[in-house]
Amino acid sequence: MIRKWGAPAAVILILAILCQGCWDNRDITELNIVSAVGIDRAIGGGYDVSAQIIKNSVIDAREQGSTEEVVWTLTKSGKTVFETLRNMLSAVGKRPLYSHTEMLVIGEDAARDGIKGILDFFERDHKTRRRAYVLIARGITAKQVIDAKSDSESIPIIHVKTALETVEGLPQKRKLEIIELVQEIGSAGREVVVGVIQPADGVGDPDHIRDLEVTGGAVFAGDKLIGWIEALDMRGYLFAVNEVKSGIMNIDNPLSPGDLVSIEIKRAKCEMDAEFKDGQPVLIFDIRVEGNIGEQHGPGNLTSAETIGLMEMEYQQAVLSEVANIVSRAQNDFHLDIFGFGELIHRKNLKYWNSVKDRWNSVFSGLPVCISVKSVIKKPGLVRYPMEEK
Amino acid sequence: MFRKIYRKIICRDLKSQTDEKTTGGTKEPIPDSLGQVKQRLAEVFSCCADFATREVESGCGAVLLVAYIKGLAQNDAIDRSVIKPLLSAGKSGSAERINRADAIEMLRDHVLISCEVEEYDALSDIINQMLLGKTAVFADGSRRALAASTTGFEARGVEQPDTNVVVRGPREGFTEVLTTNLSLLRRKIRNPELKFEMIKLGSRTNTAVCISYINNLVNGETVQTVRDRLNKINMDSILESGYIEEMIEDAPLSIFATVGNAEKPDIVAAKLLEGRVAILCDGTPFVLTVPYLFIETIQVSEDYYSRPYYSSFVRLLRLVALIITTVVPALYVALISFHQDMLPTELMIRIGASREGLPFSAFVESLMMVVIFELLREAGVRMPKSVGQAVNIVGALVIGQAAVDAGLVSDIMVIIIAITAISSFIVNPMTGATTLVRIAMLAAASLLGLMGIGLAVTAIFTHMCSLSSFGVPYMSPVSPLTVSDLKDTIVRAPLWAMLKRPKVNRMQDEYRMQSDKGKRQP
Repeated sequence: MIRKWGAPAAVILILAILCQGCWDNRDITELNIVSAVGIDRAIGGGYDVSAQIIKNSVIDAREQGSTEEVVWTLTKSGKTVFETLRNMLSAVGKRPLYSHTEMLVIGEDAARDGIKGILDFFERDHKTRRRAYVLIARGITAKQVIDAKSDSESIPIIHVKTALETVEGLPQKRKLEIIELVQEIGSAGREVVVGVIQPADGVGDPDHIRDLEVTGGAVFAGDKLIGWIEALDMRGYLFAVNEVKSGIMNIDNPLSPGDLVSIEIKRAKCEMDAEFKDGQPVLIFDIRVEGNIGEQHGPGNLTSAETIGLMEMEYQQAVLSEVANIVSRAQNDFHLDIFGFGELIHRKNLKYWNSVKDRWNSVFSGLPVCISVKSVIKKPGLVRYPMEEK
Repeated sequence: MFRKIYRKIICRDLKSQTDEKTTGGTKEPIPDSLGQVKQRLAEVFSCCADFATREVESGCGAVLLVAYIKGLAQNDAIDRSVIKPLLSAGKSGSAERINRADAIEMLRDHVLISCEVEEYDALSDIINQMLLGKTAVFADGSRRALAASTTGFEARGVEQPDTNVVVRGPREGFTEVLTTNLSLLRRKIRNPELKFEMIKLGSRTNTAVCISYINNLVNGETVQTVRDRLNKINMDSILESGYIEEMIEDAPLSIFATVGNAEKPDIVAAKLLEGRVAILCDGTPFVLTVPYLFIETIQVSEDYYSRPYYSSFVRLLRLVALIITTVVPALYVALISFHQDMLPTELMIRIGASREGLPFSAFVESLMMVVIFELLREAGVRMPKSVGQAVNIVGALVIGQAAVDAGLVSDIMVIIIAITAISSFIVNPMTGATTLVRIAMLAAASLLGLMGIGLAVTAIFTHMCSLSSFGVPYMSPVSPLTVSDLKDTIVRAPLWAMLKRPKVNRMQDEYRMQSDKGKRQP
């Protein structure tokens, strides 16, 4: 019996020991689902960590007309993130579950001091969600973001998440998951730009998500926040790193100066390259954009080959200037390679890369850049002419 | 391992049995005096109210004894084919020739009007014939007796059976009468190569059992194995084919059946034509077929009667149902008590909300619901039809609404159990096995989560692959793989594309159609 079944039994036992995942049986009713985590720099050092915790019992009650909040927020302090998360157990009865965290919000102060330590916990621990999105809170604390109420979603952070996910229609922000952020920070020859959440213009102390805006980017040198990219410049950056899916570009109406035509950006594609001339690289952005006419102000038939050509030229110029603008900011203001040319050169010319990798950001700032944009306008929409007045 | 357990179970019984072996020897002859015959019969059939005799003096003066069993033999038939000819025997011209010596031959050849008249010299033989419904005729002074076939008894007619229900296809089902069943099969396959081998099983019940196969198709080894195993049955009673099934199974301790059963002649005919052997048992409409493979559990006769696309889709559906009914409750428990991170957030929150405040853990909750469902199912089957309605209402209310409202069970659990229950009805032949597997999976999942499910699935598949039925691996044609047989597994290829019969049954004649002749070019 043992001779015959010993080997299979051993295999099964060894597998059972080696392959075990989370094997602790913990029922949902014993868990508190944490929907978002916010991390701020605490005043005396260490971190203030806020958690948005879902109240399971309220979800059903709300369907029956209750107006009770579905989430509550808990803030605790500690020397490290992990310690602080554990400190929360002093105030919550059920164990917090971080596997469904939708969003990690990092406060401006904490980001300026460096985020490697924060991310280390989320990368190392097996119960966190590495695919949660990361946002930097600008002008407010992460706690305020976590605390903010939503008018549209019962779980407020879902509101922020959906606002972030609209980046495909409005390319002014950056959707980045924890694991992607960790990879980009760890990659030599690339500085990272993270999405930003900030109070909307003219709002002092927001407590609703409608008073917040998910726009712009936070520029990091290594893991430290050093500057901001505003909403309008952000699109240039996204063009450059090939993350524009769609968007609206306004150009002049070629037949009626002073009036605007809105082009819907389609199929934007950017290929970065580096060509070596006399041992020095030239950085190349090769951009192709397509577009459809989305809205026309002013009179005229824009569908003739001639006007299309004119509009394509304007469209090209507009994209070019946006990209040129962000490149010049990267080279002159930040002195940081936020586009990842370093990675490219590392792959293309290892010898050159080894000679410059220690001072790459300053080398990058002085390199010549060549931007070429090829633009096509494809569809005029469902009408050819604008409405005619009687 | 099973073999060892099996041996342990039966060896003790066998030991005690080997001592008392039935004494064979010569059979008791029929006494030559009618008085003695009468006396012996009265002894044998003492206290048998259904035993009847009648003494007849034929027209020529010979004294005859007619004996039969009331209810098994038809009165009409006895009157017409035995009594009346005997009484009028003397009036015909050949009357003088009846004398004591050759009375039996005379009666057999010239008097009895019955299509089947046989002669016996042993008393036990003639008694056995009477127990089949024949009428025995003894003549004074003769050591032989005649059995005239007058069999006729009350039996259920050919009806639509409750199992193997089809929308399109023949509706007739087997009955409890073996001869009727044989005729139903013969009507499907009008070919002398369709053989019916009769044997008697059960030393007390004397049950007629019939091995049926198509002689020039079937693998001879399989038939021989069936014969051998049937002959080894040493049981005093066979009341249903289930008795036989348990005695001839390859893996008697497995939860999976390796002997199939069907209640309809078209199904059995199709299996015979695939080179299988059928075992018919008197007294039950369920006919056994061997070898029986796993894939047959998802094959339904209607698959072959409706169009191949839909048939294939339904086959796939049945397989999915089989997986759902075994795995889903376990998967649910594993996901919500071990792997909360694997669910989409919205679903996770939903489940969390529905489970809020429940007193039981997910495992206890689902085990409870699984057991409640099995209770309801069993009650529904066993209940008299008029009360069955009440079970449904109570079940629907208890499981469906009240348990959720009372906060004992989450509403998602109800959905899970409902899906499981419905799926379990789809793969009928496996219902017994799936119920056990479901509970085993549930236990494994609550101990080790997905890991446990993985281990349980591995163990079950290993076991299934180790089974075989009358020399054919249980999981074939999938494992071991026989590519050409896959045409009739999860997909059901068009009939004209299935040129060959399944190879796994190792038949003498592989081809269904004469090469290109019958093949349709689409």
